[in-house]
Amino acid sequence: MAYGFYFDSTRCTGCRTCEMACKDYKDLPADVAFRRVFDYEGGSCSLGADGTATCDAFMYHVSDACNHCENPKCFAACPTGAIEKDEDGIVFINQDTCTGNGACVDACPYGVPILVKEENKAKKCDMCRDRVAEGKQPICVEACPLRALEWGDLDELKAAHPDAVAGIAPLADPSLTVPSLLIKACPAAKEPGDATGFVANELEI
Amino acid sequence: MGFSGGSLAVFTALAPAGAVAFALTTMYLLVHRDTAAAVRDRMNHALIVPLAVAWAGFIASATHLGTPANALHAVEGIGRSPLSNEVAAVVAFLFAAGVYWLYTFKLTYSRRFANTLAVASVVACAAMVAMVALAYSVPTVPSWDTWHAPVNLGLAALVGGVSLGASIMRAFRPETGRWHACALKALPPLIVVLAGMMACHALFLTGISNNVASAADVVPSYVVSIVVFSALASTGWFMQRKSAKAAGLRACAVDVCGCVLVLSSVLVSRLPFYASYLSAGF
Repeated sequence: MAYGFYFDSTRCTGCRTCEMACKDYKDLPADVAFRRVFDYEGGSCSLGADGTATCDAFMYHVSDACNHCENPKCFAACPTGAIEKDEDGIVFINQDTCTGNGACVDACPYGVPILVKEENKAKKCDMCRDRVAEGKQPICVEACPLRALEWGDLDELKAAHPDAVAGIAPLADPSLTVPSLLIKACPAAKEPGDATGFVANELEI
Repeated sequence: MGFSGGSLAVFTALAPAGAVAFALTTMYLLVHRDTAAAVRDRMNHALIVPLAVAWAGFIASATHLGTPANALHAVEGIGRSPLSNEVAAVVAFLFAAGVYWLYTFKLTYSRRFANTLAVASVVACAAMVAMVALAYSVPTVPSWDTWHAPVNLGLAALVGGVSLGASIMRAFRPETGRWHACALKALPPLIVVLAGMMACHALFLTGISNNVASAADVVPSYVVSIVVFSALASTGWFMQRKSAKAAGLRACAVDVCGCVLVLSSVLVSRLPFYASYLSAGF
């Protein structure tokens, strides 16, 4: 069995409650976030000679944390074996053996692991393993006011959301790591690798 | 810059160069088994120079670790992680080369055993350069996961190693005269090929991008790096060549300065590689 996240991009308003709940629960410093909300924008509006406007502008939000991939590149890159994957498919960093060399940071196409300078270690979302062990949901899922996030057994999530996809822009091509992530794409959503848009809140993330 | 580029650029500039210079010198001794005992001993003892250069690189690499105390856990990833393979290969070389160097300090020693250790050092050097070259084959980093990366690192190891090896050979003329001359002749084509390969990598980067940036944009100074590398390496080679047939302390100093310039040029050649880090995602 593997746990995974489901994200409904038709519901997400980009409020960042998931991000803030995670930061609060994990007591993260101001410049570290395990869950991030991307604002993906693109297109333009133009005025025709007849005075009518045509517009292909789009914008949507993507809430993303560690996707606890089936084929985690962070795990493959870590020289010390500090990154482990448990029987529930949760990928976590063993802080006792992490050297903080940054190989996982560079290898993850989702930019998930973060080097925390104060601790000289890499850190990332562990799907709230402690809460999961108590039978609770990850804090981000519980906090989402729009219920845009769901969490559970990946097979059950797939059965409940048969139209979900594994990735939309600006997330990486899901074939690289096979993320335990399902997304309900909003009508504006673009394919991974899309070059028509851009991450509008790059400094924030 | 990915992987804490600065310290790793120093590592990949010095450690492989030191290893190649060590291998060249020991290969000379393996080939010329009739070298006078006194010269052989002095050459063996002089191996501390390339060994120290390799160690300096290795120590530099440790400075990018947030928690070096956990570095010994690197053995757990051997076979799975390219970085673990790299660390294991470097440690194997430093161990083999160190044991050989120390063994030759014995007043009487077995030539057969010393030769075995020398061969082991040369093999470990080849393995080390290969493993360091392949350490950046990360499928999710398209700007690194290219054949340019290992080829460029191998060439950088040869440029630095041949230059350092030539300096050591120079100190042991006239016995090593022919090898010294060959090393100096090999250096210009190696410099030209490495500069060309850097240009190939720079060209390759123009086709790589993700949702946030293009690889060419994150290394806008690649051309400058190629020019600086070429200038430093050519000047260094010229100084080494100029001092090749001269005698005296001044000529020796010019040769050493030339070698330092070539090693500096190798460091310059490594910097844009680390700066070119671009994930397949963001």
